[in-house]
Amino acid sequence: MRILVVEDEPKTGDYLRKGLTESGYVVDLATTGRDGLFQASEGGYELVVLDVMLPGIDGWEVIRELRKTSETPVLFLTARDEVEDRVRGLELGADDYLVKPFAFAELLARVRTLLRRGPVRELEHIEIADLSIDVLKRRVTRQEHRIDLTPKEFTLLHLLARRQGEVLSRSQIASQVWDMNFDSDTNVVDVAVRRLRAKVDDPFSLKLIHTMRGMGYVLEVRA
Amino acid sequence: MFAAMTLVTLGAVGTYLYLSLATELREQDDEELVTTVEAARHRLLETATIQEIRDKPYVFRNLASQRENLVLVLRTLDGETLLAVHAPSAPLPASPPVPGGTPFTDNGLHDWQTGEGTPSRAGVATGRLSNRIDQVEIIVALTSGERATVLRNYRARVVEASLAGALAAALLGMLLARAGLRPLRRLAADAEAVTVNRLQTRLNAKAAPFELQELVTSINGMLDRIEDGFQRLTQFSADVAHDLRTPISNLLGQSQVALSKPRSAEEYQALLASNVEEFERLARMVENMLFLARADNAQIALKTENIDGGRELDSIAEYFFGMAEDRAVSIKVCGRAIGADSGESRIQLLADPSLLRRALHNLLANAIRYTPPGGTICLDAERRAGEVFLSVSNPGPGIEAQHLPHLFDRFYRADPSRSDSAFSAGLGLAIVQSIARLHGGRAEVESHPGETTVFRLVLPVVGEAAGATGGARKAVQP
Repeated sequence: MRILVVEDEPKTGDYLRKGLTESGYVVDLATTGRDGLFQASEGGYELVVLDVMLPGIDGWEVIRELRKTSETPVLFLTARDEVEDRVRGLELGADDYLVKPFAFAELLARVRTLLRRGPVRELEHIEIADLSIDVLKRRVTRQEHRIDLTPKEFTLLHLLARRQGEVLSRSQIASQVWDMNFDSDTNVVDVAVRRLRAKVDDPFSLKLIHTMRGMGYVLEVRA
Repeated sequence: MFAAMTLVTLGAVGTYLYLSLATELREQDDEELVTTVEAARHRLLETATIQEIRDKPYVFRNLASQRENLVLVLRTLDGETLLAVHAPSAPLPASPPVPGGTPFTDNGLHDWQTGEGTPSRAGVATGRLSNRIDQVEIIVALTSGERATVLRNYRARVVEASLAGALAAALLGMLLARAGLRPLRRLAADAEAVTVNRLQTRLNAKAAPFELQELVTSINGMLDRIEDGFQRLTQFSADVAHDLRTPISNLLGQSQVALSKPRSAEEYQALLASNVEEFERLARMVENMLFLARADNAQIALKTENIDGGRELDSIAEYFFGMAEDRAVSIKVCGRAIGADSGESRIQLLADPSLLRRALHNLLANAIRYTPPGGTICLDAERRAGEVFLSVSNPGPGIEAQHLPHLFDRFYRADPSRSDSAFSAGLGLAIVQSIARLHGGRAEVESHPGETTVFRLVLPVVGEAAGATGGARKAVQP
């Protein structure tokens, strides 16, 4: 999958390209609005990551022009998150926006969502290694052992399992599990994950929930 | 302006005086003419024949000879002039004579002009002789040259006096105004001395005249508030800079130390992870400051919903459950989750759920931080007098009274040595207050040192809320 990143700030452009490339995407970088518009119009991209503040023609202008010929999804990056800015971006046809500074995991999650075609079918049953989650009955077992979880613990495990292999940031987890949509300065998420691990991972030799230091948590089978 | 008004006033007064003088003078003239006619008639009655008048003109002449502008002419009915005193050469006054039997009054007088154009008063009457048959026409006139001169002089003087008076009034007024405005000028000079660097300057209320003292006092009040706000703003900037220093210095220091010699991959990872933590702290601080700035400008759009207060407390308690348990602190949703002044079992309130959660989060995070192990934090929702009180009370050392009024100030820390700015950077409670205000409510704190500390989020109740938060919501941009 090919992604075009339009970003004039060299460091930002570099790490976006690097991070997205390492996540399995083919990434091209344009450093001006004009180049970005030209490359995006040429086609061949599944997604455009567009910075709003660009020299020459800015992000607004780029998307206005781009929307005349193309329906490629656009993810806006902006350092300003005034309400009008968001509304303006979405009105002009942006598919999503992300306010700087953002966690890279957050960007990755948004990119994945935008690239996912069609509605996601929620699995009723998730099997990861010897972990089995029955979503409807809210039942969790490992190696045939029933694991008792509180409702929030179940929600947290379900989230991690549903997005297995994806690193989830603390704020993503707080938002999805507790509906806390701001960055908390507490270690609530860490405590909750630790408690979940005590039930799901500690009694077993195969560990599934992993800490990505500085990024968040991921549930995956590691060799 | 003042001079013009004075001139008009003086002019009006002068004109009035002039007119009344003119009337007075004319009435005097008229009376003299009437008297003269009556005297002439009287003497005619004592005269036997017309020939006698021709023979002894002095009898009549002295009636008028004293006044050189008094004209007296006696004529026979045929038109033969018997006597003429001070008579002008040109035509004599003519009008239907007042018959001899009728008393002569000023009704018989009329305005008349001599040949030279001197305005005069004149009258004509007939008088009978003692034989009661012969009649003589009496013509009198008083040329008012004298009167006109008097009036002219008077007029000139009135004009002069008015002008001089106006001028004097203008000068006096100017001096007076200047003297009266001197305190104002001093105030203006004082006010000019107030600059950003010298905000402590106050206007001198004692020097101001009585009428202005109230104004000066309220201006000084305004300066107090501005100075206070300005100082807090300055302090805020200083605090921001200070709080940014710590994470930046950590980042700089540990990165430079790490780079000073080759390290293992694990060490680099540890460094980067630690850096990420610092960056997250910075990002959070910036986000919080931005939130406060926007709340100040009412730039935060409230998405209000009906919220069950009790349920909201349950869910925040659940969020913190694990963290509290780690610290051996328990959280209880206790007390009257029942409306104190109504039969409703649920406490409904109208609020933006995400902001309300944020405010409760900050209060509870704060409470957990200061509750000693083994303590119990009590969450409570109750309704009193049209308001919903969401309170978080925790046991602990408490907060000294001197700090209470400032607790909701930005960057205010009751304990200045407490530098664990990883926590909220002293913005958490300020955000609580901002959120309360956005909803048309307020934040309160009450502390009994050694016992409990209670923070309350007070919000208007649903129903009343529509009116109470209307103002706040109108200020919010869509």
